[in-house]
Amino acid sequence: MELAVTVKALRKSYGGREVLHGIDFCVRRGEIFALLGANGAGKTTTLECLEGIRRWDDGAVEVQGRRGVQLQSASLPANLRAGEAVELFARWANAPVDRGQLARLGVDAFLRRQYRELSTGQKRRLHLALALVGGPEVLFLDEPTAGLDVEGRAALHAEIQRLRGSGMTILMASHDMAEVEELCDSLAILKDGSIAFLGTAAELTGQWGGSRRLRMRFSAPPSLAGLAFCRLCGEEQGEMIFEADDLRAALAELAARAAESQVEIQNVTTEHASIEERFLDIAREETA
Amino acid sequence: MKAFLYSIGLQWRMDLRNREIVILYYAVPLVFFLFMGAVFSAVMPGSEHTLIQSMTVFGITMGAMLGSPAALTETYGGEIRKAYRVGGVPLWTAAAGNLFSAFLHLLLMSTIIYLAAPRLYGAAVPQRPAVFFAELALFLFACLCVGTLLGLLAPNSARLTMLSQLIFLPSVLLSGAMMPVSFLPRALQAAGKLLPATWGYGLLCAESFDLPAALVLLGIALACLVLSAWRLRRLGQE
Repeated sequence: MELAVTVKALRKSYGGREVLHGIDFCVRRGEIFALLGANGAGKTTTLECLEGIRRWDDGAVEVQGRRGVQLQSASLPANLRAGEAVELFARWANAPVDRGQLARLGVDAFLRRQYRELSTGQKRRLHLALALVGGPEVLFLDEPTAGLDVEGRAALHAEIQRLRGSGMTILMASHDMAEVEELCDSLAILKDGSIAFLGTAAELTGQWGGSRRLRMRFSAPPSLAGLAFCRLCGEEQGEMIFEADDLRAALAELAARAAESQVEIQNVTTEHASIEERFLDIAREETA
Repeated sequence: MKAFLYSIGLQWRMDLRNREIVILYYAVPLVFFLFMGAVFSAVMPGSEHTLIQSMTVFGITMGAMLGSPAALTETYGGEIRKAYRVGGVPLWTAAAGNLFSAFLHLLLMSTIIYLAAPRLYGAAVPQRPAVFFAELALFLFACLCVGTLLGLLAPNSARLTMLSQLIFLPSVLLSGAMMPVSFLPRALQAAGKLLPATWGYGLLCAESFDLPAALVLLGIALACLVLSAWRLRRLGQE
């Protein structure tokens, strides 16, 4: 599979304090890759090195193809009209203005309005439209839906998926785990300037820490003393919730306890932890 | 080239939409001209011979030192610079576009003074209009180069206001445009020589072409352009 972005042993310090400790990852062409991490983990610094707006101290960064960048914090002159901004960027990119794209992003509705008159969501949509001028092959998005309402967010997700369908590689930083789960093919979790996880969302929820949840409804409470393969972590709407590392062993153990206590198992459901829960697990483990 | 021309046209339109810029490029200089023109022609006999020059020097100095740097400080202050940079808009174009746009606006304001002063106050029209406008263009360019450097050096609008006033007020007081330089103490006369307004006023009032004044203005402009280029380079690396 062709690689669109390659990062090798990337290091960056600010005033003697190292904020990226030699990180490595690759992004395949045509995939959506998410960079996750708490504030100060090094997401924005990593993205800025890839975007070409920040120098790094050591390591290598390679981006194959024209870049489009939507910054988390960017601005334009207060009295510049949205349409003029698009035209300005298109002229410097020597590219035509893609009216269809503006319509899909909803930017065509406020082309005549000055930048200072735009809402936060409109500004974000405009900056995305500017990032897409000239048809980039690799698109960088920093918190793309921050400040958007539900409708704007859904429209933007649809547009991001359409762009991926057209073969564009998208690398995004986000705090929104639902968004990452919905859109991304693979992800990296940054913790204190190092990569704490690299893989797919399924790998993260299925493997990291190994724990899954079991929800069981019994006809009466069974004896649960000295469970070896799972632990009771709560009760909700008449169901007992267990956390298990080995699901098969836990189920066998609980079935045996039910039989010993002569109670019936009325319902069993299994749950994988969400990306958000796994993200928090990683944060806790690293801190511990 | 087309993109650059578009940038200049865009800056021109943005300046017209900017109330502060319109006030500093047109409203204050022209109101000042209307008011002071009446005062000068009433209380200072002979002032009609230098009225166009003095009002032009005041208007250009105000627009170039107080007006034109403001947009640059906003653009190069951080967030806009980042947006331009990732969008492939060269950093220097904002400064160049601003300079060209301000040049056109202030030339227009000066032309209004040139045309109105004789009719309103009986001001003497320069004998060689083409030379006058060439000298005016040189003075205007030098002032805008100073303004551009101020806009690029000031980290924020508060600091810019301070820096701009440090040059604007002495320019008005020491250039000879508002009162004869001979009224000033020697030290202030010498200090006035450091300012483009002094040389510009001398150039515009001279009966024949004042080559030394023109060379000084050209030198000021070139020095400011070199420093601005250095500053832009630094901003691009930050």
